[in-house]
Amino acid sequence: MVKQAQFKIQQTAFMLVALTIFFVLVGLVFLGFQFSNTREDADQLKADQATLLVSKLANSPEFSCEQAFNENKENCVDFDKILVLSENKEKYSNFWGVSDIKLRKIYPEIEGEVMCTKENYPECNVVHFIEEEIRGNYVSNFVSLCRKEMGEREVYTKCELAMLLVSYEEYYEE
Amino acid sequence: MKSKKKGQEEMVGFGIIMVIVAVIALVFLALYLSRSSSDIREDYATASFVEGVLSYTTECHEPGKAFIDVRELIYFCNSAQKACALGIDCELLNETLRGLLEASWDVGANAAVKGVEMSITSESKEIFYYVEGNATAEYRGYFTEFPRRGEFLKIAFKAYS
Repeated sequence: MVKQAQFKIQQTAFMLVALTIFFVLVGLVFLGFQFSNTREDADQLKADQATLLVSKLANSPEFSCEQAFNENKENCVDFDKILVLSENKEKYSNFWGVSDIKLRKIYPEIEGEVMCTKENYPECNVVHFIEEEIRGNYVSNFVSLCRKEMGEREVYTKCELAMLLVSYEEYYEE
Repeated sequence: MKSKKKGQEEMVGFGIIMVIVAVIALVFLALYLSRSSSDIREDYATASFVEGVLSYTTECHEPGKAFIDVRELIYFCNSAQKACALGIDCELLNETLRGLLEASWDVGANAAVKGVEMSITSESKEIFYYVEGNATAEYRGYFTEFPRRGEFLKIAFKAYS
């Protein structure tokens, strides 16, 4: 009787130990799977940060139209302002914490890639802000590219469509 | 003999419990893996495109008056009152929107964007409709509407991937 009871207790104990080992193994497999995504999560986080930065850049004082065009437009980039900014790029080289910032006018279309200077402004389509070795991926956002233009009798606001591109570095290089 | 059989039955029972637990764990794992991440970034791209298009300054103006943007041109195209010289509001709107769409989206069977579709409607009629490429089951899009003189003008844009 006593031996039978001891045997039963031993049985239960072995079963509990086996179940515990089983669940520990399942947990280890799950954790291993979770941690294997860490590299991709780090890259995704960087991409999300870059996308947020694209949005913030377009609305930051250095890029934004603000009150210059009598309206508070979101994602409005002041073409006049960024031309001056691009000529002082060395002062802003580490300001935004990204590899590259580029603005490309999409419409009206201009053939080829014409870098904007004081001489060809506004008949150009690319403004480049950071001159460093470019690594990583680009994320982009559509923006309104606005400037003041001389009309028949008065100065008016002319807005075109452009794309703001930001490059971020991947955490791990392959 | 009886105790041997009982022992075997208990082992089988234990094995069945293990299998059931493993199946349940696999089901949860499958559900966890199949959840799709939100596409907020990509919706933002289509939203910023539409807002950029609406702010685009067109070639439309009456002599001596300021150039109007796409948002205003949509209204004038829909109404009896015209803003452009020679009354070519709708033609100019069509031409401008087509140019913007073709320049902004690289559409193709091998491209990331398989097709685009844009429609602009008022409460009474369709003002503009554009489609290029193929419509697929997966798309990202943006919808907005704005009031003009008591009427709502609606814009829907989809980029198929």
